[in-house]
Amino acid sequence: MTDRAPLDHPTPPTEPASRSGLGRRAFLGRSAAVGATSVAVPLVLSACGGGEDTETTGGEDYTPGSAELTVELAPEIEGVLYPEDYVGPRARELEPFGDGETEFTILSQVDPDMDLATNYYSTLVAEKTGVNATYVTVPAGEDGKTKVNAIVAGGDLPHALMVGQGIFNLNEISIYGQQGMFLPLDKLIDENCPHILDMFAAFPGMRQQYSSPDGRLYAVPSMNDCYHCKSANVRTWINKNWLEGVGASAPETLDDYSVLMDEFRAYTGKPDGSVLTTASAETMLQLMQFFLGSFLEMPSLWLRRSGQTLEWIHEDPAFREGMVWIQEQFAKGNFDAGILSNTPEQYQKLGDGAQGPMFGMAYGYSSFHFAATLDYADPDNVANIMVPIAPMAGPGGVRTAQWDHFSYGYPNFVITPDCPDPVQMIRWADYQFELGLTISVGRGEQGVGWDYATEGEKGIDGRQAIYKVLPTPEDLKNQAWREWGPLYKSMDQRHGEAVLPEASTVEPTLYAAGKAYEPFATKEESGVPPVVFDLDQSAQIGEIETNLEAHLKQTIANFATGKKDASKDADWNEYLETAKAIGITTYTEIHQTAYDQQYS
Amino acid sequence: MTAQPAVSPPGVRRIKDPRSDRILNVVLIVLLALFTLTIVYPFVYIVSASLSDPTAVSSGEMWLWPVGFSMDAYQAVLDYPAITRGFLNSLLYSGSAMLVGTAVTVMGGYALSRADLVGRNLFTLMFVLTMMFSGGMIPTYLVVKNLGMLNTIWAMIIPTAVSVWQLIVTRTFFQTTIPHELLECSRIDGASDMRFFWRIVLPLSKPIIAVNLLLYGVATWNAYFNGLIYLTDEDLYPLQLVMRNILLENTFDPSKMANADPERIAQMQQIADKLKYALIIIASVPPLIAYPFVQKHFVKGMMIGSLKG
Repeated sequence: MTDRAPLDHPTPPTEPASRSGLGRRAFLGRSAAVGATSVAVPLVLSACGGGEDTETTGGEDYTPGSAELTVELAPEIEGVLYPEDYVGPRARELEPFGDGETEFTILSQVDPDMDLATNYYSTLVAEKTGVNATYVTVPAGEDGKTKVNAIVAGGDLPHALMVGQGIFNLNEISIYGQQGMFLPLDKLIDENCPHILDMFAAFPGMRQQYSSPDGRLYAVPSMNDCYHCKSANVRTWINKNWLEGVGASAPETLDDYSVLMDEFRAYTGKPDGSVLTTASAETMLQLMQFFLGSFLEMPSLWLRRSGQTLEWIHEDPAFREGMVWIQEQFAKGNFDAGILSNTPEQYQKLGDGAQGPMFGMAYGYSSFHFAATLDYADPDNVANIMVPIAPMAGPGGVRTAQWDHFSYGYPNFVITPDCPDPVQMIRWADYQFELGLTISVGRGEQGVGWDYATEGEKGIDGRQAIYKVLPTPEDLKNQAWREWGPLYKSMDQRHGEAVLPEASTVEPTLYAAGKAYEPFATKEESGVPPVVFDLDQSAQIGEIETNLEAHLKQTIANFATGKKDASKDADWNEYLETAKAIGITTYTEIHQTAYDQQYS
Repeated sequence: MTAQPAVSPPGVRRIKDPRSDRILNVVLIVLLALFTLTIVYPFVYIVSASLSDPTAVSSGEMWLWPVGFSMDAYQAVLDYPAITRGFLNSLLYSGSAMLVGTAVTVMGGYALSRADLVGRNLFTLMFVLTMMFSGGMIPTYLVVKNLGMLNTIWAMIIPTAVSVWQLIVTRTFFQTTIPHELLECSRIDGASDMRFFWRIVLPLSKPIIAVNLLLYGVATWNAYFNGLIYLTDEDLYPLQLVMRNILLENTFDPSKMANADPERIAQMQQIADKLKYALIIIASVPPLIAYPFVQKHFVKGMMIGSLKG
């Protein structure tokens, strides 16, 4: 049904960029290369896009942080409650500054049920800032990325783009920024953005982390410092009903796990067709990494850091030990063979079983991975039957889980050279780093979708709440921008949300999961912080990583089905050798070079 | 095959078919029945799923007939103005693309079929080249943009107006079904080329016209990519693009995301689950209605055009 007709499916361009209009043309080649990461297109980098207004951006010689702030922080609104030692956005009286006449166009992603022209938050922002903005919208995700590339290549640049969460990452923003497609924002921020600077002051590493290798900041980062996201990559869940059914408590060690699986196997209360531990083929590596964390510390699937040196984890004997253990679990049937082949839908089908979830343990970033019919308000729903399980101790006593020490959020808001008045545009973004707007962007109108909390209401983390989410009437649509806009959701701000008993929300469950994983977090010193690549590097990294993943999945499948044996040296060395042939060495070196450039 | 004795009731005496024929019949009937089943079952499944309680569908309880019959999904579809709008847009785009595409293809195909066309091989080569080489997405986008077609219905019709494959099939059809003698006769009777084409060729070409109409109509109906890159105004989105946005947004890879809100994903997923099957039905109805009318021409037009080429 969604087949593309042959005519309807143009192939990406392969011609090299021509000399005239370098910035834009080079972008064409780039967009193609980024779209298909397997094709590396060699291109000349232009030093600077030209035509850049050095008055507002400060030109090449501008030192970030050197200009005087000309705008003051808006005064705080009295009476809003904050927990002790609160770090995050504060409620402020915002005075409109916009002239209301200059017409700005801003590009945003949207979900299909949103219409930014009539959206409540759009009108709220217009009212608070006085800026006259219209929106160009693209679908979220990959489709949106394709379209943004076309729009940018066509030359009709909107004045600003909100490209966070899925359109452009820091690599791409750096490449385009250095080409002059986006304005460097340092001077604009230093002069006009007290609220953004307030955030940078509260999180000293942030500005540097989201700057490009040339030292400039091309995108205002959105902060979404999500506590539960830090362990989400390996988060695994256990069936509470089955645990109660066999009278066991959550396993603390892998030995407990083996015993528990035997009990689950014998347990008669489980639905027909149930499996013990499972995931989908798409998420199997995450599940494996969860268990491998009981053999060695894995801050990521591939690389770890010792001192200033990055190294490939898989050559560690402990990794192999873990793989041998995984192989045994498949042989015993503790791991469901469906892990190797389940589509996301088949996986959800297990979770949505009419007699309750049909697995004992399952992987999930959040509950939506393993079930589609979620209802947090119903205690008998799969959403409440599956509870997060903490990492277990392995035979050597190792007990770790990947913890992302580095993600605060993502680069989001860029301004293009076509913008008639970058100062108004950057201030438009700056205002949204205020508490009220940062809540409204996700929840809509104050008094309808959310309200400030009263004394004594408790937030997710049990401290004084700042605001509460009100149950919204179902017919109220198109109220918010979700997470597409500028955001300042610090961890304190996120945890300042009061949990109302009637609300159906996953957040408290995920908070508890975060708490369960944190004691076993991988160390910050062993993790590789985010690094920025240039075009060739990111194409190479993308290709190698895809191939490595396929190779690792294939190898696990061979071990699981008994075709190969991880405990045989020949088979194990074959895995390592093939990974080297795919380019794990290059992969490590590229990371190392980028790391050295940015962090030493 | 329909009245073969392989299925006749026992006791009725007839002249026996050779044993091998009967075996062959049984085998064929079984194979065709299985084949039919593989086509009919998914369709029945989707119809049933669209009429069932979503929970029963996602838990696998529903596998053939509706469980927990409800029209909620269709009700929900109506609540989405984007879907109705997309449906009407798609009808308009398909209808127009079908007419424009067929007109151009039939005229072009006829011209290329005439041996006396000057530079015939060159023109054919130029068309065929585009089957092997394309300008690529961005250059095509720039052309569409510079022609001022962005955000207009024309972006949905003109860039894909002619399919070279269909043009060649049409050309071959004319070459094989319109004898040269017919042209000579008409000339003797004083008909101009226009008149010959209009009064003689077209009436003889109903099958190929029908096939072209159908193929262009269906291709445009199913297309989303042009809509995705050429249209920014959501009011112009075709149904397939609206559907794609609703149904594919929940596919998501945890390793490639930056702190996405799990509740949003769960929410999008629920919308998708609710609407999925009803949407598929709605999107399939127009082509399903069109096929029977064209079917009788289909075999003729397509086969003549291609096989004897």
